[in-house]
Amino acid sequence: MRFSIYRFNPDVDKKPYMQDYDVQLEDSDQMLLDALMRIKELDETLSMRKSCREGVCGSDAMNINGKNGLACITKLSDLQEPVVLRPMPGLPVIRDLVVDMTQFFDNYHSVMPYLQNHDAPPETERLQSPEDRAKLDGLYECILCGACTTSCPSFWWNPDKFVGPAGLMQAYRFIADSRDQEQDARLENLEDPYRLYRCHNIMNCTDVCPKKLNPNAAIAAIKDLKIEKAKAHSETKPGKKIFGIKVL
Amino acid sequence: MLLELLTAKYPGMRRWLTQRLCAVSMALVLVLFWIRVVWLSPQGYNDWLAVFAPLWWRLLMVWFFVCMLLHAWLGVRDVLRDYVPQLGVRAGLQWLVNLAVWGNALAVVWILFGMDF
Repeated sequence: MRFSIYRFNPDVDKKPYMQDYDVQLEDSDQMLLDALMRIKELDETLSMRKSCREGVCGSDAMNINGKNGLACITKLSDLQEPVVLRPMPGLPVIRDLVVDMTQFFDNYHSVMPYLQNHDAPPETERLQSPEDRAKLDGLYECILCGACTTSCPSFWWNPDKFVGPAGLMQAYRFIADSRDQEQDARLENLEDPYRLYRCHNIMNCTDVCPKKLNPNAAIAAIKDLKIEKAKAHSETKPGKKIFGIKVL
Repeated sequence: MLLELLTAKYPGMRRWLTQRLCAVSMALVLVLFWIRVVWLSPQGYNDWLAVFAPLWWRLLMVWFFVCMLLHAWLGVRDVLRDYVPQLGVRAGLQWLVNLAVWGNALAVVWILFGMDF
């Protein structure tokens, strides 16, 4: 099987280049990661991340034939030759297929991705109703591989301003959590023209998510919730009325 | 309430919401336009003049184009901010966009109110 892989070693190379590999695969080589391990047997200078081999750790996210995905759960039989592999776009390349995810995790941390509850901890655990718990389905499963965020043009052009789909989905994961007490602060944290509202719903994120999650729906839910909160806030405070309609 | 959401108190939401409200307005006016055209079934130039003759209809058309131009201006402004990092080039392009928007707005008003209905 033929592969064309992005190569760049900043210590040696002046600029990146694509290197072709022809690999003889075994019957047991079913996934793209299996093929990459064969390639590494041929050329051990190829750098990449991998760990769990089963789509749980998110380490081996890369751009596969133009679309982000995880090498370990991408079937070789689904790929057109030559298989073109590049690092995830929008992040600095450290070497070959390895990218620097510092900005991605800075954005993730900026949404305070942890439960904030100021009540004294109960003896066992903070309980939720099954209905409240169900609201977290489709959110908590994110493995932070970065495939969605690095598929997003808004993140490419504004990586330090736009949180990105992964970070925003994690923001909503805690906004929607009935045990969290900082919902208002979390929503306020996303109120500027870039952090949340730079999403233009092109849905690249949802298209590429290897866990079949829907960051776009989470982002839409945050926007809806922000309108509801602003309406509620407006209705509870005294305001100026024109012709009986509160305007400010 | 709605107007408050469009103030500087909500700098992110107001741009997003403005664009959505413009889109909803345009969709509603387009439905009205379709109903009116089907209802009157204009066959020639004079029939089309009659479609646009009532003042309320021309004002509605102005509203439609205001929404469309504002919607487009907000979208193009974001595109320029994303794709044109050089400040001078971006300012020049934005100036051209502003010129086109105002030119179109004036053309709409001129056509709708400058013609002899």
